Amino acid sequence: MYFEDFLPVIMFGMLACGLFTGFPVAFVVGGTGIAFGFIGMYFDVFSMIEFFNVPERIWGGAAENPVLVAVPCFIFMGTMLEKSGVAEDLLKILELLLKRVPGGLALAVTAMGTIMAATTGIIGASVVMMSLMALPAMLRAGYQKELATGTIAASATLGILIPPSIMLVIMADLLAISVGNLFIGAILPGLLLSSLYFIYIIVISSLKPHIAPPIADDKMVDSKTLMLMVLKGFVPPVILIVMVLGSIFGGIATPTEAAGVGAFGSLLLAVFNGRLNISTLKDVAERTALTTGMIFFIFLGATTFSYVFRSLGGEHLIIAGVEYMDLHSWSLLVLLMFTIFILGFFFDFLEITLIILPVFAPIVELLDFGVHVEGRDIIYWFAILVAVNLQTSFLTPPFGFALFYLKGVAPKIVKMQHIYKGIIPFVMLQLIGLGSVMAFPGLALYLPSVLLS
Amino acid sequence: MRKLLEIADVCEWFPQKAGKLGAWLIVPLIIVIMYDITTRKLQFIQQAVLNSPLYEYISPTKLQEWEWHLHTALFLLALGYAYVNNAHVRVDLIREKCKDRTQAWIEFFGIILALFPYCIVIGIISLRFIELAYTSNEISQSMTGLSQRWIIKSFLFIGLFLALLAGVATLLRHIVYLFGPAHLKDDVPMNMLTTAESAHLPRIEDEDLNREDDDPIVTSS
Repeated sequence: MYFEDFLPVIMFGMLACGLFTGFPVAFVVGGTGIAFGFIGMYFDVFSMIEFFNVPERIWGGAAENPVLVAVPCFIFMGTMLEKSGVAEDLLKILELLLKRVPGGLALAVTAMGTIMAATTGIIGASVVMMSLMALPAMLRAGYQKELATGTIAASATLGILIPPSIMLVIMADLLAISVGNLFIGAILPGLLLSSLYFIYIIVISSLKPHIAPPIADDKMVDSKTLMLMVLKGFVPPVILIVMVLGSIFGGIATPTEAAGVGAFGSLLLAVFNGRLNISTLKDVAERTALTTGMIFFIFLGATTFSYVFRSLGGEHLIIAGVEYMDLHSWSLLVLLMFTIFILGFFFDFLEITLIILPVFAPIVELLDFGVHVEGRDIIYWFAILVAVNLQTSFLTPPFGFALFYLKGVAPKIVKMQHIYKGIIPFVMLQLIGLGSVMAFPGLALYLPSVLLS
Repeated sequence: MRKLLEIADVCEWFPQKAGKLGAWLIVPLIIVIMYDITTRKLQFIQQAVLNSPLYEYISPTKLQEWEWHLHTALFLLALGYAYVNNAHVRVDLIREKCKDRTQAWIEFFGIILALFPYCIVIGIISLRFIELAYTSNEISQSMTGLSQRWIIKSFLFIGLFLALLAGVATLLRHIVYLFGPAHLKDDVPMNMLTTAESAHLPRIEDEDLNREDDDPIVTSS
């Protein structure tokens, strides 16, 4: 072995160091790629001419790619629903609908997280949005701080798993699998998690009514007003989401088309609410551009990085390493999941899907689970496992960064200990969910096989 | 030193303006998708369009290529825009514990060591990529697609150039902040420091919880 054979390892180490400086991920990844291209040239294992393939890769991967057109559309849809007040109205109506159930307010937040999964797609933004909308109401109603913050953090991060999730779009694209199939596959695991949250909230609120007091009577509205509110604020967004997902699942529309319809529908809802004006539209369009620019710069950087990494022999090194360890497929899977779990402490899903997934993809191809999961299904199953795993990781103390975003917007009376304590039951539920999907791959694979046959 | 800040403002103007204008491309993008779907999925409209002279100009293939053209222009124009507005994700675990000055040093070296090399190398290479598309008169691979592929490919260069300008603007400000005279420091817009970030973040105050109305009150500075 020569020194230059280990360049990919050093490259990865440098990337990690660079990322922890806090300089924007996109530039660190791209810059590391360029730097190691030149280092590779010095050692004669890379040539300038290879750099010329990078724009070609970027073009094929990010630009001339009809699937990724869905990304700005879904971001626009989520942002529009938020800025036009549709999301907030929905939460209020859910509160009123669930007022008689123990822990109604917490259930409303979970239901909201499930329905409005299509928020901006960035964990931080979703958690901040959900906290601003729900936390004051919950604390004012006398909810225990632990329960309130735990519910909010867990529900806000559901969006990365439940379609239409931007993470699943990007993942499907990188793993070269169908977005529609992955969306369908994510439905049951997503619903499983939100049902687990539901059950937990109902049980704990019935056992300890003081931690989740019911809504005061003076806040009740008569059933006629409520019906009207439901018709105006609940039915339209739910129809929108059902339409978007239904058209993908029914095979009527591609995810890109559905995303366009979703974006258009969110505009209609804003008009319907009387909240669409030119400044809202400008604001939403600019926010969409900011997030899209951010995501795709990581795309550019990661494309450069992984091209150089592969060219320096990184892929061979990884496969050789894995084969040397000679692990059973299950141990390998657990190892991969554990790695992703740890990475999730520090990185958002964008870094993990765009940088790490291409590196892991060749390992996934080595996995063999016999009859437990059939060969061609493994990749879908794996993608769903990664999604559930990442969500868990974002919630796990002490690093889980969804918790820090929550702390950032929370009032001073909410201490970090409250948040840590409150999230633990939800992390347990996540682990049950993750374990179930591992043990019963059918959760992720049954619906696609039924709907698409 | 004040001159540097003025140059920085000029450099920032371009990515800022390009990003804001490019952001509007989402509107035609949504319209194109909607138009494409309604004319393809609804039979009676499809028939009407098929028989109209317009069809040659707006065939589904052309529309679908327009979709990714608009998307590509949108995100490439936003590359620098996202940086000047500090929208790029960072791993803040260690950085947020550093002093402002240390953070400024990180940004300073980051721009020189990562952002500049990336934009310059890929930017220059992309010129060849565009030139090739132009000289070979590259068009869509499908017969009825869009021609003049070099136009949209030029956006790759434009986007990276705007990102470079965004980097120059930020670098100049950091130079003034790090090396400039004390009286100028307060004038430097340092929106990338974590202290500046958290000041922008909305926050629920304890007093808000005592309010009786149902609307969550949010204070934002």
